[in-house]
Amino acid sequence: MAFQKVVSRHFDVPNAHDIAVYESLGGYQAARKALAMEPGAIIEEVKTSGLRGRGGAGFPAGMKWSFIPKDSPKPKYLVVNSDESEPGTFKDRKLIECDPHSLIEGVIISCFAFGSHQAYIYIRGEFNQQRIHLNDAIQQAYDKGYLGDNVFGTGYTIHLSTHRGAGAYICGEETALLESLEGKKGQPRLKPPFPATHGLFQSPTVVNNVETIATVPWIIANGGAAYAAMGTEKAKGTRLMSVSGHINKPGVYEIEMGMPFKDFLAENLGGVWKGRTLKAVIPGGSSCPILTAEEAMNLTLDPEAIAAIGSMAGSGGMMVIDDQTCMVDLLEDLTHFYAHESCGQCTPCREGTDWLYKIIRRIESGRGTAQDLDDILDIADNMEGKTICALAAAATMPTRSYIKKFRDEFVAHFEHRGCPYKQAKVPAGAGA
Amino acid sequence: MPKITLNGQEVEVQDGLNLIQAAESVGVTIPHYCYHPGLPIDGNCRMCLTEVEGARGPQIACNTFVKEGMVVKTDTPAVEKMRKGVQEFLLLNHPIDCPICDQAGECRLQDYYMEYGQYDNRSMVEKVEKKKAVDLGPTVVLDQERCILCSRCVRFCESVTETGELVIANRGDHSAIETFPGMELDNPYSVNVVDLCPVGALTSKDFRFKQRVWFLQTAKSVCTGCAKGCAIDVDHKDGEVFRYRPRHNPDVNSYWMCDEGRFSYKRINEDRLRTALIEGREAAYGTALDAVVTKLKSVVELYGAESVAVVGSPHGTVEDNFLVNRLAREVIGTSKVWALALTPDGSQDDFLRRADKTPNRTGVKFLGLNDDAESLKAALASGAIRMLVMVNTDLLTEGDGSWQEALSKVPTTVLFGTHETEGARKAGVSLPIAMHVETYGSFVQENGILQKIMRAFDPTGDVLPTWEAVGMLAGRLGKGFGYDDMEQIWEDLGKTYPALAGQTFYALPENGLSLPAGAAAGSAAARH
Repeated sequence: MAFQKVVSRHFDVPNAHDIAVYESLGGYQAARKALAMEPGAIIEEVKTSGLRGRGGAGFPAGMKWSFIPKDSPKPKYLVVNSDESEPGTFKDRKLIECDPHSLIEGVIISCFAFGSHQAYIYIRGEFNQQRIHLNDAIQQAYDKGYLGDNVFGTGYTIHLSTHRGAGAYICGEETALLESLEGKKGQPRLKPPFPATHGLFQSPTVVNNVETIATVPWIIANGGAAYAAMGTEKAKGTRLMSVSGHINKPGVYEIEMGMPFKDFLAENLGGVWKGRTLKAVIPGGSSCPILTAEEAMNLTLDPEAIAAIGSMAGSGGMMVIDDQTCMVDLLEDLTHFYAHESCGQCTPCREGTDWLYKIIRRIESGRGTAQDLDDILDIADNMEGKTICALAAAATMPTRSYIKKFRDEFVAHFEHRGCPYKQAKVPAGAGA
Repeated sequence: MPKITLNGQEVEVQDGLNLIQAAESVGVTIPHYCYHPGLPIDGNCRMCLTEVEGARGPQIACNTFVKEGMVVKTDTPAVEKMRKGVQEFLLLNHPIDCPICDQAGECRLQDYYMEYGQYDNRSMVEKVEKKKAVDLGPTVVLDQERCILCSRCVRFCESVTETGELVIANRGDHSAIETFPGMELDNPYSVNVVDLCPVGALTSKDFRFKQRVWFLQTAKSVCTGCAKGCAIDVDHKDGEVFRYRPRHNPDVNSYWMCDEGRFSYKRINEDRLRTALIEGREAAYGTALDAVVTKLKSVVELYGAESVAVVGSPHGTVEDNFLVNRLAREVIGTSKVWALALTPDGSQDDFLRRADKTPNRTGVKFLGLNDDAESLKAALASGAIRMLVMVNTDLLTEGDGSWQEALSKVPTTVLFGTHETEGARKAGVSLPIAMHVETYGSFVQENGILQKIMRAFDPTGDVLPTWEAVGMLAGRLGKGFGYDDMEQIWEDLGKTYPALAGQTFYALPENGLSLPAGAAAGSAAARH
C-alpha cells in the first residue's frame, strides 16, 4: 500500500484542533466504532497493525495492553507520556498543537480496550501553552459527552485530565513519570514490579507515548491491516520525525518506516544548509549513538536498520550535523545535559554523568590528555547497565560512539591545546 | 528450601530471601550500602550488583529474590570491576576527611575501599561542594559532602517513624539530604539514623568527637530505660559508657531503640554511690555490712523475723531478686518480701517506648514476688516493721508524702543503692551496688522474653554487684549461698522455676528466652 499520512493527516487542516472541524474530518467515528466492539477485538486490531511505541523503546502497543491483568480488583490507568524531553524531539508538541482530538480519541479507544476508566496526560512543564490548548480540547470532548460518565451514551466512564511536569527530563522515564504523577519526586522505580501490574498508585497501568495513542483512531477506522501494509517487514506503518540541525527545512515530518535517509534529507529536509557537507547524524534523539555521514547516507529509517549499525531509532528526534561542527563541543553540550538531568538516585549515574561532562569539558578547553579517552570509556563501562534506569546509558552510548567515530577530533584538541573549530571561528561581534 | 548455585557451589537457602541475605546465610558477603533489612528496599547504591544467569545484565542482589535453580556469581572479574567502579563513584565527590571524621573505624566507605576498591585515583575534576555541619535538630548533625545518598535515613523517617522530616533535595551530584523547610529532625527515635548511616554523614551530637571508635569495647546488654527491654550494645572504655546502640532482636526491638533509652546510659556515669554510708557518713564496706548484720540480729531477736521487711526491685535483675527473696525467706526468715519501685510512669507510644520505666517488672512477677505497693505501705505505716531492707529500690527518695509518713514509722532502713541520692544519705546504712553494665544477669521484658546482660566492666570503688553484696550479707548472717557466678545461680533458678529448668546462663539464646505465656500474662494483669 502506498504511503499515506496517518498521525499527521490533520496537520495542514486549519483549526483541526477544534472539535467541530475534527468531526467534519470524520473525527470520533473510530471511537464510536470501538465502543461497539469487543475490547479484546480492539487489542487484536492494534496487534495486527504492528503499532510500536513511539516514545523511544518501540514496544508493541497491543502487547503492552494485553499485559494488563483482567482480574485485578484495582482500577486500571492509562497514562499518556507527553513529557517529550529528549533533546531534538518535538513531534508530540506539534501533534498536540495541531490535532489534540486524535489524541483524545485514541485515549477513549485505548481505555475501553483494556478496561480503564481514568486516563492522565502527563505533559512536560515547559509545554504550558500546549497544556492549556489540550485542556480546551478535553473540555470540548467532555461537553459533547465523549468523555465523562457516559461516553457516547454507552454508559462507559472515561475521565481524562492533564498533569503538568516540573521540568525534569527523567520524568519521561515511565516509572519516574508515575512517581511524579503521584506527587512524589520524579525518580525511576526499581523494576520489577512493572507498571502493567504495579503502576500508578500501585495499580495496573499502561504508559504510552502521545504519538502511539494518537495513531490508534486511524487504525480502528481503517483496520490494522491497512496500517501494517505500510512500512517494512518488522516496522509497520509510519512515524513522525522531528528534525533539527543543519538542514534547510527543519520541522516535523511523517515518513513511512524504512524510508532511505538519503531521500528524506533531499526531498523533505531540503538538504544540508548553506551548501555544506554532512558530517554526522543523530538518528533518534540525543541519547542515540551518532552516525557518520557515510553510515547515514546508506541507512533506511526503521528501527531494525538503525539498530543493525549500532544506533537506535529512539523517539524520532533527528539532528543533522554539518562539517563545521566540533564533535567534542557537541558532546560537551550533550553530556552537560545528562549530568544536569541525572536524578541523582543511583550512584553510577549520579556521579558518572557529571564526571564524564567535566572530563569532556576539559578536553574541549584544551587541557585534556589521551589518557582521558581511556578513562571516559572505562567510566562509561562502569555506568552502563549498572543503574536503575536508562539515563546513564543515554549519556554513555553517544559518548562512546563519538570517541569511536570521531577520535581524531579529540586528538586534535590535545594537539592544539584547544578547540580547533573555535580557534578558526570569527570572533563574536566582528560583523556578519 | 530452594537450591541455588552460588559461585559454582550448590547451596540450599531459605525461601523468600534476597540474594544478600541468602549469600550471608551460607557465609558469602555481598557488599552493600543502601540495603538494610529493617527498611524498604531502594536499590540505589549499586554496590550489590551480581551476575545472575539468564538475567538481562547485572542484577542488584538486594532486589533479587532466590528462586529454585538460580545461578548467581559474586566473584567474577566483572563483579569485582562493578564494585570497584561504584566505590570510585562514591568517593569521587567525597572529602576523604577520615582523620577528623567520627565514623572512621566503623565506616563502610573505608572498609569497602580496602576490600573492594584499592584503585589508583584518576579523578582530576573538582569536587562538588555541599554543606558541612548542618544542624538537623536536637540530636543529629549532617555533613552533606560525606553523604553517599543511600537514603537509609530518609526511609527510616518515612517508613519506621512515619515522621518524614528528611528528604533528598536537588538532582544529580548536587543531591543532598535536607530537612523539609521549617522542619527539624526531632522525633523520639531520631538517633537511629546515625546508626543507619553507613558513612560519616550523620553523627550524634551526644557522641561526636568523644572517642575514636576503635578504642571502644562492646558488651551485649539490654536497655533499662523501660519495660520494653530493647537489646543493645554498650560501647565503653576504661569503665565509662560512651553510647548505647540498638542490637538486633526481632522479637523485641527489631533494629531500633528510642532516644530516651539511648541516652539513659548517662545515669551510669553520674552521681554514683561508690562507698558505703552509715547514717550518711562514708564507711568501710565491711563496717557497714557488719552494722547491718548486728542490727538485723537484734531486731529479729527483739521483734521476731516478721518485723523485717525486704524489698527487691524491678530495676534489679532476675538473679538479684531471686537472691533478695532467698535472703528474706531463708536467711532472715521473714515472709515480708516485696519487689517494687516507685519510679514514676513516663512517655509511652505504640512503638518501643513504655510508660513503665523499669526493665524487669515482668521478671519479679515471674519470680512470684509481691509488687503491691499499697500493701507494703500499709505494713510500714502499721509500725510492725522495725527494719526495712531495700535492694535497688530507693523508696526514701522516690516515695511521696504518704510514703514518707509510712517510712518514718520504720526505725532502721538499709539501702543497697546505685546512686548517691537523698535516700542513700538518709538510710541507716547504704551499700553501693553495681548497675546493669557492671554485672551479669537477666531481665524479663514486658512480653515475657528473658534477655541476658553481659558485664561491660567491673564497677569501681566499693561497688559490688547486687548478687555478690546480698550473698555477702547472707554469709555474714551464717547462711551464705555459696554462689561464685551466674551458672550456679541458674542451677538453683532451674530447680525453683520449672520454666527455667535445664537452662544455663551462658547458653541462653541470643534473642532471649520466651517464658511461658502464663508468667508474662500474670504480671501484666497484676500491673493494671
